[in-house]
This record gives sequence, structure tokens and C-alpha cells, in this order.
Amino acid sequence: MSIRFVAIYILLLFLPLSASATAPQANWHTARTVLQDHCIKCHGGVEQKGGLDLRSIESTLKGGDSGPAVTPGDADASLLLEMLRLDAETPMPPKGDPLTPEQVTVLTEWVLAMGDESKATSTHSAFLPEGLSPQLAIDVALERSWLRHGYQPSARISDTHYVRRITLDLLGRIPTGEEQQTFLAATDSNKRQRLVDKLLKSSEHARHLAEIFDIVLLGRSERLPGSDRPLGRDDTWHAYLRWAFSSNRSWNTIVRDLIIARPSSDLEKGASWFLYAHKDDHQSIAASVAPKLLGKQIGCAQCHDHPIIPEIKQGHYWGMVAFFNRSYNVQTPAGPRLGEHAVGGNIQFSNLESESFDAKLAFLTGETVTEPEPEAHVKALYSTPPPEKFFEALNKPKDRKKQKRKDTPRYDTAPVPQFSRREQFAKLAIERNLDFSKAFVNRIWAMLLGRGLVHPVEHIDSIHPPSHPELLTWLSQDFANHGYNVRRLIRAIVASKVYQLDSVPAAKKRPPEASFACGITKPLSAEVLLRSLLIASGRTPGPDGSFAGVDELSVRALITRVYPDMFSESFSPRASEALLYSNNATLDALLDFGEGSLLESLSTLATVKESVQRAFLRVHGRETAAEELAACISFVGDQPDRFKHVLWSLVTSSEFRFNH
Amino acid sequence: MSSPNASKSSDCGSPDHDQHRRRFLQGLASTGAISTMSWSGLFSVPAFAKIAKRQHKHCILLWLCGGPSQFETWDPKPGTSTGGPFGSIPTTIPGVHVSELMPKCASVLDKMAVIRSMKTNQSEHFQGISLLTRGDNPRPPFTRPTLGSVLAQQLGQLDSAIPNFVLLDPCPEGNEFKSFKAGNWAGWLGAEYAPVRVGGEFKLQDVDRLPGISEVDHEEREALRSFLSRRFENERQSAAASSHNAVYERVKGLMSCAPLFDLERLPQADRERYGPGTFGQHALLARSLVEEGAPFVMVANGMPWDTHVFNHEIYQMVVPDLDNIVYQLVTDLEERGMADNTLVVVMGEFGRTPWVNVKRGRDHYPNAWSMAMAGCGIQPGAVVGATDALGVEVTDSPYNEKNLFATIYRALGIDPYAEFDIPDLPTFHRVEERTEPITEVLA
Repeated sequence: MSIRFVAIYILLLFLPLSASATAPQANWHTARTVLQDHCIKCHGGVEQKGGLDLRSIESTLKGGDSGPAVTPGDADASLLLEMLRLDAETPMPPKGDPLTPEQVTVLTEWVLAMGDESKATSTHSAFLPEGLSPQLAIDVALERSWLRHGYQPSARISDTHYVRRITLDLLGRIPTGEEQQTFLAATDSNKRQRLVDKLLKSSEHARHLAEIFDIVLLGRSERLPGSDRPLGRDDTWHAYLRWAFSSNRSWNTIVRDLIIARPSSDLEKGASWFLYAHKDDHQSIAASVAPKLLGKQIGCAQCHDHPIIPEIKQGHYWGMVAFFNRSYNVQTPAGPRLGEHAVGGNIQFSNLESESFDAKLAFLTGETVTEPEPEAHVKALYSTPPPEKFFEALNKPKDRKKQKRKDTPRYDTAPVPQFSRREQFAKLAIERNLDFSKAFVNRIWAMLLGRGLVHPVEHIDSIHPPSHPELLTWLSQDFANHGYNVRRLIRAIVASKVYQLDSVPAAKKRPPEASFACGITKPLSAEVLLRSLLIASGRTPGPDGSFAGVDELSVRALITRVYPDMFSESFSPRASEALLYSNNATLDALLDFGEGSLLESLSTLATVKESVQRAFLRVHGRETAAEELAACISFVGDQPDRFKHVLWSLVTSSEFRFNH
Repeated sequence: MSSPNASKSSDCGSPDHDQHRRRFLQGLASTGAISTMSWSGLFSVPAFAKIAKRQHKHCILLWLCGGPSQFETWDPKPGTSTGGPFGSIPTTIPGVHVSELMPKCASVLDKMAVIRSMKTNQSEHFQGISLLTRGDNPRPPFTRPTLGSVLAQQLGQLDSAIPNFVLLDPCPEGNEFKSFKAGNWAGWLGAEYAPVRVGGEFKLQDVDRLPGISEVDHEEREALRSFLSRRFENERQSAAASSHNAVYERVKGLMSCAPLFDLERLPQADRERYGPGTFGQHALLARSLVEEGAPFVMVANGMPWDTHVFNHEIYQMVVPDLDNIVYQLVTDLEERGMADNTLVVVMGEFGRTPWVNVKRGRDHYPNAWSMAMAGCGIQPGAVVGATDALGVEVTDSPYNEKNLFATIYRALGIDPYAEFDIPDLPTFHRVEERTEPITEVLA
């Protein structure tokens, strides 16, 4: 780091921090929980009695039929607080218990704090200038927040632990003994960066990202009996994802591939599966696209505006459906494709009051698309029209009985209309929409740091504030400005200080996870755990990352059955996981496979002590502590065949279950 | 019927086992490397648990996930614009009618209690499920444990072979209950009070020790695993690692009580009485687990009650099934002398709208709904609260989730207002604001 950089760095760290500028936001989140429990039912998304909506600061300031609900900084002039008084004309809430004095205090403090905010002249206290490198932006933002909150960050992770952590994160497996030795033996100061660059370019890295996004986008799927292929996708889908990540295809292009689903080359053709897998269920598409690509849960808004989150309206849910409801699955000689009608797809939805609305092509940002009125004959509305039989069927009277079972039509090519709702959606979702960028940045952050800047990851909305809002915005803008370059983003995060913090806390008390001041213990996915187990047992992955002689898919199915979901809110393991590792014959057999196994090589060592040390090195990648050594030696005693149980204890311990 | 636990004691006294264990532990001690903490940690899992001391009180929650309609169950409004097509029938409580879809419960209603004035404030599944399983709204960062976790801790024993919190649920996929299930059930109580989940297979998987591993080795390798793993957990103060280690502590108990989960051991006549569906079979399993000492069993069944479409057609199928199951459970518990110490709670996360939508469905309705209880601590024949003629509003004694939870805790002899001071969290209570129990339903 140059002197100039250090100077900027230090300057940024100590930018004036105005407590008052952040306080109202903090107070709002406390105030919101009170409003949510007692007021939102009548003044929220489902109902707005008296025209009042208390879901956001803005709508509360706007107020209802009687004017603004609060006057910032003036408790006496705030209608909201007045209505809560027991001696009010019609005290609120009208039924049930009044608010407790503590709850009224929370609301009053929030109103008062808002006054400070209006008076405050300082700009955002957590300012991050443009032009930093993303790595520097991360370092500055995090260190500044640690300083502000008085958290002592953990020490920098040792090389021994680093090589395990980075290999797990980027390749989805622990390093082999050889890989670890090579890294530890290197002496140059740049060796971490060199390793990262090497890993990012490997085919195993692409395979790992493809695996994660397969699960994120389509979910894990049971295999058909006797088949090695999961339902709802085929090899072209996996090949597409691997190709996209290995060629570092930009994220916006990937998402266009998925949404528009009109592949122009063989490499892209598997992308159609993302929509095709929903089998013409347009609500299912909407409910999947929103969380997975845009980081928002909109399912709640199917029957009414979101009850708690003010910006998510019922019209957004149905608007999302409308963008996809002209699309339909088509079987073509080139594989599964998505056709699209040029007309139709007009839907109405009704709210709880039975008021009916036409669904507009409305996007979550509030933007709507006006559809051109069809003027020409329907055939002329297509750039790639459907075959003649399609139009012939339109003119025939409909035979209702025959229509009941809908087979996927077989066409030579998938029809494309002149005006494509999917294209419009892709444009709105990707262009000028920072949330699109945020959703991806947040997911990658969670993948590498063990928790999203917004947590849980698919909840980027006004009631899940980011832990470091300025950083999420900055990184998302930077990601968009640099062509949605996936590899650049990953490289920046893993090069940052926060990624390289030890998971052992520096202070006696562990700082909260959301501070990122201490490395988070990240549970391994079933896929990653299995590969790591295979390496720990003494196997070496081939160049494509697969293991000879192991039916990975079958074993993996055993593990996924008992493992919690990826990116879940908190780690909730099940007892069935422990039972599986304790008593399942298939898993038991993985450790003890004879020639070439770790177990066999350990038996050739002269002493139990040496065997224990070798086992720790291979399984955990580290030296054995004295008390561990003593416990293991004592366990084996004079029965060397008990050594396989030592190995079992190592691979089932938390140290192996987590990336740390 | 011989209890599978009965055979356990003969395994316990194996002199061979004792001797080996002593040797292993002596060895550990002689190295002098083990701190007192880790030393005692090694012993905290007893080698073979003595037969779990039977607890006096139990609870079975029939969880009607999705939100059952009060109109087609406990609070019928026949002949009104909201009542739907079904009539009502008299019950063994004079003047009290229930839906004609529930003739069997009508015949034992004097042994049960019904609350017709539940009034809560969450109309979405996820939030509703959270509210009615935790008994309060969320207050981040504090996660309130679910009812099952509280009862597991209050009524159960940590070294019990039988899990303190069993969740029987055959439907792992595809609904809001799934996302709730993925969450944190035990809250601040910690992973050892999370449920053991058993799905529609009616038995636990991977519960038999592999033939190549002796009982002693199986036991001691877990002691070693725990020792190594706890070291990692403590160094990092990792809650995730703590949960991970907690599930391994379950292994021994689950292996010894696994036969209890096998429905095949139960008399065919019993299985037929509860009906062929998984809900009925799981309810029977719950009864039998409680007989064996389980403090809390929750029986869930996907979300068939969430009838936004074709409410009447669906309820015509599912309510008679529920009617039979509740009847069998209530009468069984009484016949077996267990009614006095077993509380049965039958409810979902809210009720359904009085009005019927364009798809002949009823939507979510937390404003006025019903539920039923029976057994331990409950006043038989109590019918509490009322709604107006159309079932739109509660007209008499509205009760919310806090009232309900205070009632459940009281019925089971647990202090509803216990106060907790956990570091970094505000002071909280088992039930906040000293909310009153529903005294009319308490015996």
C-alpha cells in the first residue's frame, strides 16, 4: 500500500461520525416493531383505516385523512402520539389493551429523534467515495464500523487455516495434502493473492459456482429412480452454468440468458431450463425470480399489498406474473425452449375487499411498461411465428374435453413475438435497477463471509436493513459499473481484511455476527462436505474434480436428505444428520477403503502418536494440540484397530463440519 | 406389550464396558493434559442412560397448519350468509352445537374445552405460525423458543432417551410451513431443545449400530468426538458448532428409543381406529410416545387447512378425519388414565374468513377463530367466548396468543411469568405483560 493510499485510508476511517444522523434510523426499527404489533393491522398493507399507512417513515409523515401522523421533533404536535393517550377522544388502539408506557416512550423517542435528523446538516456519516478499489472500500467500511462500535477484530488467519478456508470457498472442498504443503512452503508475501488467482481460473471453481447456482436457481432435486439425472433439468443446464462461470460471463448476461431463454449458441442452450422447469406455472416463476434474482420475497403480496413491507404491492406480484404469463414451454428438435404468445395474458386480480384490478406490466421498482395495442393480424405480431397448426387451432371451436390435458407443444422453433414481455422484464430487472446488483453482491458476500450484508439473503427490503448499508450500495454500484464481473467481485472480497479474520474472537466475548469482526463458522453444504470427506479419507480428485470409484450422487443424496438448506437464516442441524454419520453403512465405508486410504497409510507409521499427528494434518490441515494428542493416544490404547474410530471422530467433529 | 426400554437395563451393567471405559479415562487423566472443564465434559454424557424417569405431564399438539375454518368445526353458523353448506349438531354439552362434520367430537365434547373467541393479529402463514407456536411476536435479536422447546425444557430431562420434543410431519416440501421449519425452533434455549423430526416413514433412519462396531467403541468414539469438537466450539464461541454437537448428543437416546417410532409394534386395531392417513397414524404414534414418557409431541400434516379454493369440498374430506382423530385421542387418553396428565391442544395459526371468495374458498382470518383443548389442567365441558351471528367479530371474551400460552403453561403447572435475564438481551418473560390465562378453561 502506498503512502498516499494509507493517508486516504486513515482519512476515511475517521470521517466525522455524527451519532444523530444514524439514530433516527435505529429508532425507527424499534418504533416499527411497536407499530407492527399494535397498529399495522388497520394502518398497513391490508387496510389503511383513515387513509393512514404506518409501514414506512414516509407514509407516516404523509399521514392520513387527519393530516401528518407525526411532526418530527415535536411530540406534542404529533397526532400519532396524541391518539395513543388514554384521554384522547377515540384512543388508539380502539380495542384491546392500550400500549404500555414503555412502548409509548419508544414511539416518542423516535419522533423526537426525527427532529434531530431534519436539523442535522451533515451528509451521510458512512460516506464511501467513488474510485476506491472494491477491496479498499470493504476494508474501510468494516474497519470504520468496528472502530465506531468498539469491536476488536480477530487476528489475521494463519496460512494453515487460510488455505483450507479459501479452497473450501472457491473450490468447494478441502485442499489435498500436496496443495496445502505447496502453499505453506511458498515464502513470497503475495502468495495468498497468487493462490486466489490460480483457484479462480480452475475448472473446479466454475464447477463449484455452477453447483451453488444450480441449487439456488432450481433447488435440489431428487433423482428419478435408476437415473443419474435430477428432475426438471438436464446435462445442458449444468454445462451452461459451468461454461458461464468458467468463461466469467457477466452476471447481467447470465440473467438475460435465463430470462429471455432464446439461446443463440449450443453453449447457451441449457439456460432455458431455468424457466422451463416451472412447467408453465407463471406464479411459480414470479415467486422464484423475485427472491433468487432480485433478493425479494413477494409471495405475501399475492392476496393484498404486503402487510408489513410498504414497498411491495399486490400489483407488483401480479405484474411479475404478467411479465411471464405469455410464455409457454415448447419442445423443439434443439431441446426445451420457451415460446411466447404475441397476445393474451391479460389477468385480473382482486384484493380482500373483492376489488378487481387489471394486472399491469408493473415492475418492483414501480416502473410500468405500456404495451403497444396490437393492430396487425396476429401472425404479423411475431418475428418468429408459431407453425400454421397453431393458428388453425385458434379458429376451430374449442373442444373442452380435449383441452384438459395439456401436452407441451412440439414446434421446430420457439415462437417469438415482436413485443416480448420477457425482454421487457429483463430490461427492467437489470438496467438501472441497483437491487439486481445488490441481490447478487449480497449472495456472494454471504457465500464467502457466512452471512449477508442483508440477512437473510433473499430479504432486501425496508424491514431488513443492511448491517453496512453504505458498503452494500457501494459494492453494488461498483459491480454494475464494472460490467457485473463476477470474478472481480469475488477476488475483491477474498482479498479484503474481513475475509481473512480468524474465527477465534480476539476479545473474551464474541462480537455479533453482523459486525463481521470475527470469522463466522460457515456450515459446509452436503456437496462440499462429501468431497472433503473423500479427500480426508485419502482420495485425490481427478482434473475434473471427480473421484474415481465413488458414486458421489448416491452418497450425496443420503447427506442432502438430512442437511439444512443453503443460505438459511440460522444453522439448524437435525438429529438425523448425527444418526447418518453414526450408523450409516455407506458413509462408514467411505473412510475405510483399503489401498491408498489414509487409514492404511497410518497403519504403516511406527507410533500411535505419529499416526494421530498425520491424521490431524490430513483431516484438519493442522498440528495436533497436546491435549488432543493425549486423548487420541489414550483412546487407541493398545488396540491399533481402534484408529479408524479416531478418524471418525475427526471427520464428524465441528471443525470438519464448518469452514472457519 | 413389552417396552423396548425394558431391555435397556441389561445392556447397562456390562462389566466389560465399564472396565474399558475406566481404562480409557484413566489414560486420559494420566497425561495430565486435560483441563477440569473438558474432563467433566467427557462424563456429561452418561455411558448408558438409566431408563428415563417418567415425567408426570405431557402435551400433544395437533397442529392444523394452514389455518382451519372455525365455521366447519367448532363455531358453526348454519343457515347464515357466512355459514357455508354444512349444518350443526348438538353435543353432550347442552345448548352447544358443533359442525355436523364432527359427530364424534360432539359425543365427547363434555370432556373437552372449546375457545371460540381467539383474536390474533397475524394474517400470513409464516408470521401466524411463528405467533401461535412461540406465543408472541418476534423481537429481534431475541428469538423466543417455540411451545415445544419450552415444554421440552420444563417437562423433559436432558438425558432422557426419548426425545423431549418430537415433531411428526410427513410433508417436508412446498409451503410456508417448510420455511418456518427451517428456522430456529428452540430460540435462546439452544439446539438441545430443538425438535427431533420424523416424517411419514413411521420410523427413524440409521438407528441400528453397524455390526462391525462394538457398543463400547460406538460409545467411546462419540466421547472422543465430543471432546475434540467441544474444544473447537469453545474456542470460537460458535453457536453453530454448539447446535452441531447438540445433535450428536441425541444419537444414543434415539438409537435406544427408535423402536418406539415403529408403528408396526402397535396393535392393528388401534391403527385402524385412527384411520389410514398419516395424520391419524401420527396422532396414534404421539399417544404411544407420550405413554412411553415423551413430554411433548407435535403432530403436523402439511397445510390441508389452507383452503383458498373449494373450502367446502375439502373440509368435507378433512374434518371427519380430524373429528375421528381427536375423538380417538381424547377417549384413549381417558381410558388409559392419562387424561389427567396429558394436555391435548388442537389448533392452527388462525381461522378462515366468514365470507367465501370467488373460488369458493375461505381466506386467512385472525380476527375471530376457534380452537380446542382437553386433558391435563383443563375444565371439561368449558366453552368459552362467542362470535357474532355471522362470525365476523368476537362478541365475548376475546383472547390472544398470550392468553392462550399463559393457559397452556398454567394447565401444565409451569409458571407463565417466569423472568429471564440473558446477557445482551432485554429482560423478558415466558409470557409478557403478565397476560392472564383463560381461567374459564382451567380446571
